[in-house]
Amino acid sequence: MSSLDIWIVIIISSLLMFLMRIIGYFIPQKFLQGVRLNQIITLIPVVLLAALVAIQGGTSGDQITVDHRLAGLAVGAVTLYFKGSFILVLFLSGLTGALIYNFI
Amino acid sequence: MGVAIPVGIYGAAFGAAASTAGLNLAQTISLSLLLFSGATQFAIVGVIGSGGAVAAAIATGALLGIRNGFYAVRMAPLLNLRGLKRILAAHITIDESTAVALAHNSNQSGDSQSGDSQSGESGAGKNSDLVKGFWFTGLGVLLFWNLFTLIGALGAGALEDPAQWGLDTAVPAAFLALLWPQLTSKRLRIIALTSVFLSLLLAPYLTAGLPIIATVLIAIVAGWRVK
Repeated sequence: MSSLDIWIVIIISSLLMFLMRIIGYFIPQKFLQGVRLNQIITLIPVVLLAALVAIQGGTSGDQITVDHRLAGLAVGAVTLYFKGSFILVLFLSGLTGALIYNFI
Repeated sequence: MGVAIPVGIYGAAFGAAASTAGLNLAQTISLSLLLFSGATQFAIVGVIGSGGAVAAAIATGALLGIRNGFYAVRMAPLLNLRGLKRILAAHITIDESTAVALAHNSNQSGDSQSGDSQSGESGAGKNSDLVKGFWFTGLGVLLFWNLFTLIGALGAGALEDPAQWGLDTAVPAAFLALLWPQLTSKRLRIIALTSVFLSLLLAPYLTAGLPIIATVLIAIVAGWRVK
């Protein structure tokens, strides 16, 4: 890809991204009133974030992988179960992931 | 700031990846500043680095970016913004800012059988942590992501491998920690777990981005069943 091609990708992708984001803020709320539609919109971030955790923690490319990240996430889940703070979860998960990645 | 820093440092890995893929400094920074969506940026430089076509790079990036559009639809009534503020809010509508805001959402109405209670969502005091969480996180990530993109692009070798520092584990752990308080009922926990399984099930078969977006189907089915 030439330098000009790369600039075309950057500009068009940025515009597309902005368009996808701004539409959400400009849809009149009266179009989003129904009970069902409201429920669906409320649930969407929950399913997206759950899937994000799974994909970031359990895949590499298109492969399902079990590695240091999953071990760290498990430690994070246990910390959350015992009501550990956000920073503690981050620290213990990151530490577990780093130790396994570097030394095992 | 709790999320902004580890995610921001990841920007160094992006800066390094972009340089390796053949982007110059201005192009690398432009992506972090103008496009500002980590997963999309990694996907685009991945396509460029592997010699893909212009259209392929744009399409792959767009697939990963769709979820920001969904977040925007959810955040709009909660932030309740007018005029130009919506433009800035749109630009910083990312996984992180949405997750932090919703973790503060005391009125997690996905749980109530009566649907969204509009009165609760427009109550100003109740929402102030949510609103603060959104702006601080969005702007914080914008700042650190761009700062570390620059550092990475300039060749900070020590930060090129996020796994070495536990960052590739800390980032999904941060999203898990932000999702956790939102799962206030058995129903929501089942919905989240179903999403985990569906995305992993689809990951080997669908192109990047789609396994996550496909879980919107779960939200549609679960939301539809509400009486």
